[in-house]
Amino acid sequence: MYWVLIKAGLLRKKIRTVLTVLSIATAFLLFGMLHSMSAVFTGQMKGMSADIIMVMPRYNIFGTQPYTTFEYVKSLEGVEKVSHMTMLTSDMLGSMFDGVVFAVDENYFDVYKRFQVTDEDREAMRLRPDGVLVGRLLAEQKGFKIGDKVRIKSHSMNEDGSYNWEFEVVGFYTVQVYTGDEIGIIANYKYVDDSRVSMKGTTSYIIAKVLSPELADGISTKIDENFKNSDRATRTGPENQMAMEMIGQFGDIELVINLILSAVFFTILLVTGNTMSQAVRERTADLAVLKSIGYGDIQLFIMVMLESFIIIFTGLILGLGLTLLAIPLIVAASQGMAEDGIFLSTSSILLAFTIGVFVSLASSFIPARKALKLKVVDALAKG
Amino acid sequence: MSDSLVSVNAVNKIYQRGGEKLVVLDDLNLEVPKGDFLALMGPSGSGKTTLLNLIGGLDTPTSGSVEVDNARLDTLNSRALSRWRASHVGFIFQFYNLLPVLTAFRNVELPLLLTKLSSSQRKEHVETALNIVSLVDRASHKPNELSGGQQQRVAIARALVSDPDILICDEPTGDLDRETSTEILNLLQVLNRDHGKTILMVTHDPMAAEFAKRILHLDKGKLSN
Repeated sequence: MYWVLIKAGLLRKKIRTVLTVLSIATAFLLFGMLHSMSAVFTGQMKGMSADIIMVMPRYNIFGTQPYTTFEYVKSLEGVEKVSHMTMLTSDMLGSMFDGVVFAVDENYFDVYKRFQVTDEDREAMRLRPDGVLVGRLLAEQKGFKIGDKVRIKSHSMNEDGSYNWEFEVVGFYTVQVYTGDEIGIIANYKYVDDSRVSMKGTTSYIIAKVLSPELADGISTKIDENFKNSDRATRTGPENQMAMEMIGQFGDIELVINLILSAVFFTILLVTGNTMSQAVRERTADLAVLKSIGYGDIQLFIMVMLESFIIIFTGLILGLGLTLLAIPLIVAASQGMAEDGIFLSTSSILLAFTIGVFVSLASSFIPARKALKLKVVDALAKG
Repeated sequence: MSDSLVSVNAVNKIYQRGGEKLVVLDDLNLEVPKGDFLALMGPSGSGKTTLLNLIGGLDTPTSGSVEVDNARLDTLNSRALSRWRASHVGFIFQFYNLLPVLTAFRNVELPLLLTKLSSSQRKEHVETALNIVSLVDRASHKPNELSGGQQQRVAIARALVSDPDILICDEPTGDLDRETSTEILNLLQVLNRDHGKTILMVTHDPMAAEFAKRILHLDKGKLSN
């Protein structure tokens, strides 16, 4: 019974229905895309452990810190293993796609368990000072093989007086999750430090594995307190929190996303509410006739509510469907970097459906009540 | 229990407009036997449509009783009145009031969607109703593809399809030319004579009223022959 009447209502003004559905689909596409990237924005990337802390220069995330800071962190109680890495690059954004060279010490793979390498490749790197391990994804993209030369330009001057650095591929590494980390090249810190003419004995980031996640905050505070007000002040914290802080350099992205989404859904609420009110107003005579031939008040109330649900949920399914289609395209465009970082989680889908229910109820309640309260005699008298 | 199909007893209908009381029906009594075809005439504002609405269960009197086919409509609540209307009365309006996006078939089917009839049973009923109004061949047409007379015939089929006891017609030819009006009025006569439908029709048109068995005049809320 309802379907015939709802279909009649939806088809009465086809263009208006289509445009309303499209505007809702656009809102949910925006919702889906922003939520798909929320892992990146909120620092909840898969694979990041709460028992790994990062020690960074406090005032310049691309700056360096002395090796003595590394020694200090290593000496702290509760710290199980420590490693460090130094970025050897001149163009951060460009190298994100071409491969950042990280000079690391021998403990790196013991601290960072999600980075995986075979014993043979690790040994090959240890035996060859200028040997590097290339991330799987980067190797696939650039076609690197064992024995290939990797040449980069760096901000660090080499012993020969140039800024050109050359390495040899001796193996490969993979990353258990967050494959964007496979766009990288891992070199021997000792070789890089010995070869550069400036900034010797410094490192970019220190990474420490603590005995348990509960210790992470205390140790982080202790490190920051120790170097407070010095020229080597640090910023320390669990790695997911630090990743978020790095992105936070560009502003409070999560807040911006939430504000955008709130504005979008408020607009959708108004658009749908207006559409439903208009639809009911235009159909006053139809509703009066339906009541006169025996349709009850509650039946017409439900009919208007269902009509709104169908409009909202068609838009919702279309919007989220487009999101799911767009994600592989974005991952492909990012050359695989975003493979684990962009995904539409079950909780995001559930949230979208909750919003859908709320918007449907809120936008249709007043028009539906109007249909419920409509007096047949008055409506027929008005024509 | 009355022998009449419709029995209106001492009905008053009073509207409150601001501080003023507007008496539309004044201690009105009416008996309509089964199988009657009654035309109600009278000037605008005389209460004709109000009386039809009371008999059709669309409105309730301020006082008095309205009994149709042994059901006391003035005592029923809104929900019970809706149910009663679905099976006992068919309405025919001046402006047809068809749903524009539905075909003639679907428009006629609307009252049956409230019943427990199967799809095939509904189809059978709709085809019978369309056959009575000679519009089977236009079943798939939408209202804007039909002439005014055809639209009114679809509306009559919609009123007939649930086989009600009584047809309430409010100016059924008010929007039609003379020739088409005659066709519609002839059809109403057939429904009254051959199908036994009791018809109550409000009209301004004396020619239309001539098609009825009985004509009553309503003026200032009171009936006269």
